[in-house]
Amino acid sequence: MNSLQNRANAVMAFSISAIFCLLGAIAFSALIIPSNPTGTVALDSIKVVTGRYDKYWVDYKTRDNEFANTIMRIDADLTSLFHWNTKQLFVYAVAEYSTPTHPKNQIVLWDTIIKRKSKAMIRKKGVTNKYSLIDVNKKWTNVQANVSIHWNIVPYVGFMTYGHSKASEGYAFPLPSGIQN
Amino acid sequence: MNLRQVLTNSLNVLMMLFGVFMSYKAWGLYTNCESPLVVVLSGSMEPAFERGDILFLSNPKKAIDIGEICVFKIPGRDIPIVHRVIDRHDSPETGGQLLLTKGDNNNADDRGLYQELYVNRGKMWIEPKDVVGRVQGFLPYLGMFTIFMTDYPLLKYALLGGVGLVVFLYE
Repeated sequence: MNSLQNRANAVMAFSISAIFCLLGAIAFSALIIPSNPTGTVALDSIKVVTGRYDKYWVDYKTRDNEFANTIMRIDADLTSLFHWNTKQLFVYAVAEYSTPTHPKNQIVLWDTIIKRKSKAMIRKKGVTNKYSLIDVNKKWTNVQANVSIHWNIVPYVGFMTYGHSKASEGYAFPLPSGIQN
Repeated sequence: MNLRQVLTNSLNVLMMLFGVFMSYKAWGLYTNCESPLVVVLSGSMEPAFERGDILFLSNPKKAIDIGEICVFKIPGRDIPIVHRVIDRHDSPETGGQLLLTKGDNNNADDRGLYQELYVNRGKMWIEPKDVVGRVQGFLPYLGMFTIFMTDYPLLKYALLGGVGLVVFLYE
């Protein structure tokens, strides 16, 4: 039977399955496109100050909470992560350390969104931490942290993928040296 | 139009609906996630996710990593939130993680959201038990259908009416 309804139905069904096959192929292709991203983060300075409120005015109730302030140097070349299915990169610098109560801790210090291949070379000096660097125990004594750069590829369609650079050397937190203003 | 035809058609429509429902539930079992598909409703994760995009979720056993995008519920709030993890503190004794989240497009972290309700005052972290799913995949735009249908209920009735017409008129 070749009624108009049947033909329209067949065209619709075929185009929908064709579109989804294409989307699937694009999604899976993104997983096998080779890339060689590189990146390093180094801390030029790290200071610990005490205070009651964090950068977003969350109240920690007492005045002796230890907030760390860092100055970072970030070098990264993420251009190879841009392929036909990269909508954006979410790039973030992470401090990682361990304490007796919490063996694994990670805190984002700084982040950025990159939408173009031409912006994917990062050369930055004197970057201060965008988010408060404070531990759950609110103290930094005897803690060593390393820093690394992480990225998340957000696709046009398909899988979210993640990666990160090698961790830096460990940096010891100094004793508190001031009051947060 | 005879009764036998109408009954056959309704059976077909029901088979289709139940088939979709069953595969959705089976997929939920596989991904360990009660609702493995969610539609983004707000712009707080722009430009990664916009209103109307579909997210594919799952709940793997392994610990939640920094930078992962989670869908979580705050006690007392009905609508789940899709935001990125920016702090994690793991303690094996309690078997738990303390997580802090933030929307890419928001200026501040989510502590303001956590503490919005009076019963949650002092809530500094969310935990894996609050997380209903972790974003694994992304499909743009298609969720606009459901948004249109909740915004314009007339469209929902039109669709239901269309299905009804098929049941009665299709031969």
